Amino acid sequence: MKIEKMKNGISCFSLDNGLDVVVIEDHRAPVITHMLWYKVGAADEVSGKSGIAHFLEHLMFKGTAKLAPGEHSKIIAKNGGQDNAFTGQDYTCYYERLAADRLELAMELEADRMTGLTLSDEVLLPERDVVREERKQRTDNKPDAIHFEQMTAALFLAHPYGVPIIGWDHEIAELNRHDALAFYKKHYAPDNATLVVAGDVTPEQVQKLAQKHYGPIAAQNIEPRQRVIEPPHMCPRQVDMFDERVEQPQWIKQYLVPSARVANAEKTNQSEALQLAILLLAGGSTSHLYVDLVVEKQAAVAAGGWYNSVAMDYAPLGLYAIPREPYGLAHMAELVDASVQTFIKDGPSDRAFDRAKNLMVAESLYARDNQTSMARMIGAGLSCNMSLEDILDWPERIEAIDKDEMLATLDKYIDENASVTGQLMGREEHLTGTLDDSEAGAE
Amino acid sequence: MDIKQLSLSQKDAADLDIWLVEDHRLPIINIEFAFIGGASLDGDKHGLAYLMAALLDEGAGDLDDQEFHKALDETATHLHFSATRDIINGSIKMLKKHKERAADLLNMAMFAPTFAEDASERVKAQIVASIRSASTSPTEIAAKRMMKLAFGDHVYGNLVKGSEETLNTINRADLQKTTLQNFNAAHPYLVIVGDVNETEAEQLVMRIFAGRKLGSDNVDAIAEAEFAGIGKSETHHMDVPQAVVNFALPSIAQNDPDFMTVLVLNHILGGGGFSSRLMEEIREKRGLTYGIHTSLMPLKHGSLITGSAATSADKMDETIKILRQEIAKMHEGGVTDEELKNAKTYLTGAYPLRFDTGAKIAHQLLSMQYFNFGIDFIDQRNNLVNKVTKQDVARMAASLLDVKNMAQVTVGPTETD
Repeated sequence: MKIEKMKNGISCFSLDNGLDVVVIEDHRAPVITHMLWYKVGAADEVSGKSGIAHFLEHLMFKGTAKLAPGEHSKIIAKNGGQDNAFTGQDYTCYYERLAADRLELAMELEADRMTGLTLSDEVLLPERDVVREERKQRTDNKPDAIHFEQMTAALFLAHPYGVPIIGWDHEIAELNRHDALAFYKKHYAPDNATLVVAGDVTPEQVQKLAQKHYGPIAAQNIEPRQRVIEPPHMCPRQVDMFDERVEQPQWIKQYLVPSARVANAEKTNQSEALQLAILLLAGGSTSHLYVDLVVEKQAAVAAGGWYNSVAMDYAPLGLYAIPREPYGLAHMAELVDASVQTFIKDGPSDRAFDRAKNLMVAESLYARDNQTSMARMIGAGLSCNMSLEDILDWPERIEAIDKDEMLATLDKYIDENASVTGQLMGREEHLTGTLDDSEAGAE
Repeated sequence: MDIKQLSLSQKDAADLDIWLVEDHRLPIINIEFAFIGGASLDGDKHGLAYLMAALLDEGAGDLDDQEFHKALDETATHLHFSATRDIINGSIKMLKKHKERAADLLNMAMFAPTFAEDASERVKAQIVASIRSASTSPTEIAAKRMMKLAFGDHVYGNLVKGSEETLNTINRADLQKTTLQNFNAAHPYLVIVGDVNETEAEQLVMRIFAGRKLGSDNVDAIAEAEFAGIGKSETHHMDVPQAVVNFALPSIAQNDPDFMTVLVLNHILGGGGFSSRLMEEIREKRGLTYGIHTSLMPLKHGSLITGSAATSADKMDETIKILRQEIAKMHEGGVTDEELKNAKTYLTGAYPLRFDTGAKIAHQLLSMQYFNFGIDFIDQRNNLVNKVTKQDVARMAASLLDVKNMAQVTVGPTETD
């Protein structure tokens, strides 16, 4: 129960029932953000029940022994607050934003629904229709979202990250009250959760209130998550989609890469090296890939990449390019691969390398201006089993990266056999372009 | 919150009025600014202001496009411009230690952009790519068609991004002309929040606006917009799994004395998320949609209440039926005492949530400046909300929520499929 003070006004403690608590002090405005993170997400669903983690998140607003369906949000709104929730592969988070003097209300309500959920088919069935409409809105109505879902499914041979968070429609359609309550009882408990409170409050105040509201809830001795490990990836995969709705073709390639949690647990800086590498290679208009394809060769309208390192197990590294006429999708693979290889071989200039590091470190300072994004960053990291030290020491870990080490790490993970390439197009011309091949001799 | 009002005189240009909030707890500075103009000055070259805003950091002063981006990165400066129907809006986030260089870069972007041929063509191609992506999205089509339906031939009905055709008519001279017209506008709006004192803020502003000329007050150049969508509806066939509906009604200006009443009305109708009537009837009771929302669009010369929802084709008729019933019901009967009370406690209680980051403070204050509210508005605002009566809401509902006036656009599979 001792409060441990970390840097930047951040402190942490644990309750006896296993609930971990982090407090991020920010006294600039009389406002707090209360976030309760459960260490369970879509990747923890049993096979055939995809979407249950996210469906349960919706159902958590449907009442408890004490509160009628929808009453939770209505009470928060009446108190001038905002509340919502979101589900990821590794976590489910419920949050309230309120005036600082209403922190206790958020705790009282959130503690109540940690164990008190009640469900009837009367509220569950219309909500299942809502989720199916949500899937249509987010995915089925958008060819690029369908394509990306198919690509991600192809990237993972065994690991559940290949299944979409919202679930497959035919499985959502069959989810029932029993499934929801079973998932709830198995995973929702103080010893499987992290409370993050940010804003105009002291850790001592948070501790007192957390003890009062969360303290009485018994631990459930939840076992640590066991996830499957991907088998060796032995060949590149290609996922091409024709959809006549597509007017703007796009090319994407994803590589299987470890998350920051995995790399940090192995006591390496490989994840930070990849974060720096992707910024230099494909982050914004001074990046190597953008300058090469968009500015110099003028073969692409846009080009870039991503590596969202915060995950329990894997964090795909992605690259994309949107061809510029007369180039087509078929030219992108060759041009992007060549550009990546040149980057690995020649590396960035020392000046560009330092610039990228400074930029990333400055971002961590800017992030401190926003209590909600701080709470989100820390809550997500902890829910993926990262340590608070590793999360807070991120700027120092970035500073410590050596250029050759960075390039060697990137080279290691740009492994064709562990990649999926995707082409999204509406007609044949999007693939081939209108370039006369005799003049395509860029190489 | 301690807001300081500063006024600076500039040779050969109109005075600059600045709102400053000092916050010395983090060594960062947020500046947000706006100039009247934007897409309403595009003329026939739709998309001109949008393209101009996208090109300002693609080379300026003695720096080419790559050098300019590198200079921003080297100082970790975030610079962003955008064009809307009424304004050019800009924001810059900088580290205190690089504030002079950041100010110089902003100055160059506004008053000496290069508009080099290759950069212009590249950014045009990027905008065209985004127009093509949007051309097959039912949500985007519905939103685009709604503005045309609501505003007809007024400039507000035009496309802010333009089209492939209009973008191709834009040349360097057009870009230079609209830059001068926008950034020399007589009355810029400007807010600074962060780690600067008054003297430093004044020095920074003088640096940012060095070389500004006396321009005209662009606000007079635009006619008031009549609501052209009275009772009109459009259906666009599209073979997608889910259909989309957008709807709009004419509303009142942000500085109208009844604006707070309309804010409360919209909150209860469809603006308040799960506490709104539309969400309760259409999502919560019937599971017809993931979300249905309404919002206020207070443009300088014509305002709307707009809303949208998406649902499977076979549920669209029912969704629209209930939507129209609910609007008609509020038109006839206004709201209940309890709804009014809950709307007030939410709107007043949630107001401080808009001020919990430097960037959000800058954004809120800029909006207050833009709508000609005084610096004391922040303290008065909740009183104004609390003064709204049930009779006020009933009066505005009777005046605004006539479903016969509603414009409606649906995009999706039609019944004959």
